[in-house]
Amino acid sequence: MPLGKELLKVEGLSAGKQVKNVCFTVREAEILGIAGLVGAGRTETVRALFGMDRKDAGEVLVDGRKITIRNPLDAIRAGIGFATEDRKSEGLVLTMGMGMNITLSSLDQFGPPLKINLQKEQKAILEYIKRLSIKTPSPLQRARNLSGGNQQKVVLAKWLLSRSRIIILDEPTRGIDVGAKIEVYHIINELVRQGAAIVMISSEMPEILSMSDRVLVMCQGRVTGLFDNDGTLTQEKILTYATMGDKQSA
Amino acid sequence: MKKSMKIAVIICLALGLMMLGFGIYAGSLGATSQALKDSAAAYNRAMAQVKAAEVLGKDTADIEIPEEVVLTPQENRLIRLHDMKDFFLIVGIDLLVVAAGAFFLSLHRKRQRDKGQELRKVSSGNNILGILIAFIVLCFNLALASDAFLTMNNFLNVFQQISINFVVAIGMTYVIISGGIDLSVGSNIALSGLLMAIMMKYWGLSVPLTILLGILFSVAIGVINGVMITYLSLPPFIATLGMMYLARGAAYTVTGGQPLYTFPKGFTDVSSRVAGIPLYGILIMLAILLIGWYGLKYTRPGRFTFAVGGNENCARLSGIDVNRTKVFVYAFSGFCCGVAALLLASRLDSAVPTNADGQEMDAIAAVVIGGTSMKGGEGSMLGTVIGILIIGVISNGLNLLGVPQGPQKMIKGALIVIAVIIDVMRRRSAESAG
Repeated sequence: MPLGKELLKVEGLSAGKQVKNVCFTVREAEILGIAGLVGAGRTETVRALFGMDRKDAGEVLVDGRKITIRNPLDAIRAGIGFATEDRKSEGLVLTMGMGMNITLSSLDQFGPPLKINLQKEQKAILEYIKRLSIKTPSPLQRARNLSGGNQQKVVLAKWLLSRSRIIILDEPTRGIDVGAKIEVYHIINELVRQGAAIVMISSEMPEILSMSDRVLVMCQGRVTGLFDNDGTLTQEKILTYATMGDKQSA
Repeated sequence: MKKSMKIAVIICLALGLMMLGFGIYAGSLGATSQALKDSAAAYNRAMAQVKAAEVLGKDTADIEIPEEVVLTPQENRLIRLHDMKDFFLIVGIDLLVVAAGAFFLSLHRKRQRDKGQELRKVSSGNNILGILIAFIVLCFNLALASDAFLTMNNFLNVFQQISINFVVAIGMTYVIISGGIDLSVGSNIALSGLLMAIMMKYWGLSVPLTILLGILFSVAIGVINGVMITYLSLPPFIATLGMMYLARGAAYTVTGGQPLYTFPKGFTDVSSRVAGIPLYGILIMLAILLIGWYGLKYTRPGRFTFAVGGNENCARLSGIDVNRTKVFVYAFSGFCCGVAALLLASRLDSAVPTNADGQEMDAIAAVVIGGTSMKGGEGSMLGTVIGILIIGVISNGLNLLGVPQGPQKMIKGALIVIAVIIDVMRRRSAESAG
């Protein structure tokens, strides 16, 4: 899939002690993997980017235009979606049906605010259940009753449906069995095929190496390395840069 | 079915049949019991006449005294048994219903298991069925216990009693689904009612304008609640508690504690009866119900209410304006209070500062009994309606049976606790299976 134009540009993002002057770009149809040890500040970086946490400094440009992001609503309006690390506490409304979770960010596709077209919504839900092979007895099944893997698929379906052009995934396959993992990778690739720019945080080296086009390595809040995944990138190299402390490297 | 359940069902069945048998037998003693009572009554009446005559110094010669009637202990027992027939019938039928229900439920579960379907813990549908059945059994019991229950007059009575709570509880449903609570509804109604009275009597405003402004005022109170909770980050309990006192205090201040009476005919016509039926009242109640039900099911604010109540973080991360949603639910609650104020003031033809005192508790009780969880994120309008009916019918029934206010309140309290326990148990079984 040919890489497109630059969709996301982050410059000088700083937030507290855990995010220090982070810069990166992501292009259409590109997966930027973010590697690093636990505590490297990766989750904190994307949370600041998405407007969940306050940032002290930094500029965000979407499609070349500067965007002010003060809260998640701003980010979503700019076309950014975020599948968090903890899908149960932040990714899903467990008491709601899995179908309603899928459409939660996209209700504007089903009619005016006071007149949701339930049939249209149901059709979309069924389509996504099929497309992503989500196992559920019915679209009304409460989200909390789904398995971990299927829950994650619901989260991904939500951002797929929302037509977000930039999607941030924080540990997308954590706590998921092997079979569902592969299906999740397929879904991520589907997102890429649609031209989305993906930022993927992962602590699993094989995952980073197999999925990413480029890899950003962070250590103690700073970017320590940015590499093309051109076959010469190895786990050892990533690990080296993930433990480099304050040393910067191009 | 588990062994202990089997034993419990068999015991219920046995007891139920026994009670039913007793009840039928006791019923059959009707004629005998009545005859005994009549003869005893006749004798006692005659003796009373003699006593009275003696006291007044009249002649007792021409008072006819029937044979002395002293009821044997056996006969007394027979009379008492007959008097208790209703009790036996009711308890017996209830036990049989419980046994039958448990039996059929287990059959249903077994059939599902055999078909290979996983046990569906899908929606709150089964919960509504549960309280609906409880309500039907309740009505059945009351119909047996009191002759006055199934009369048109009584229905209209019940309807009138629940009309205020009905409207308020619909708004309260939204608030509780969103994970909040609104303790200010009673005071909102009182203050708005007084304001409408003042507008009509002292400012000379027309009735339609008064109603509009009154409802807007109630909405404004709701919006203030919402703003306190969102932008000032006050917990809903505290914010609405404060508003409760504020508004109630304002109600007392505004008229110096005095009630206001006698409103223009146009206003009181809202509660007027057409062919004995309070037509406009019914229409208004149905309209609010329709709005409430439609909102939850077919609108974005309704959907967002569920999301915010179910997981506020996720709602925010999904692009929902959480603050706006919260202000909306409290504003809607306020709107319902305005309508309730209209209904109340027009029915009573007066506005007093003490109006709707404690209304918030009745509304919350109705919503909780109707299956909406206090934690938020789950609930239904239909459930609330059934909750309102259950509370209303129980109050009505207990009144008809002459139960004093104290025990009535205790029963209401027990009801709420039971409803919440059932809800918690159902939630736990759903979570452990998921």
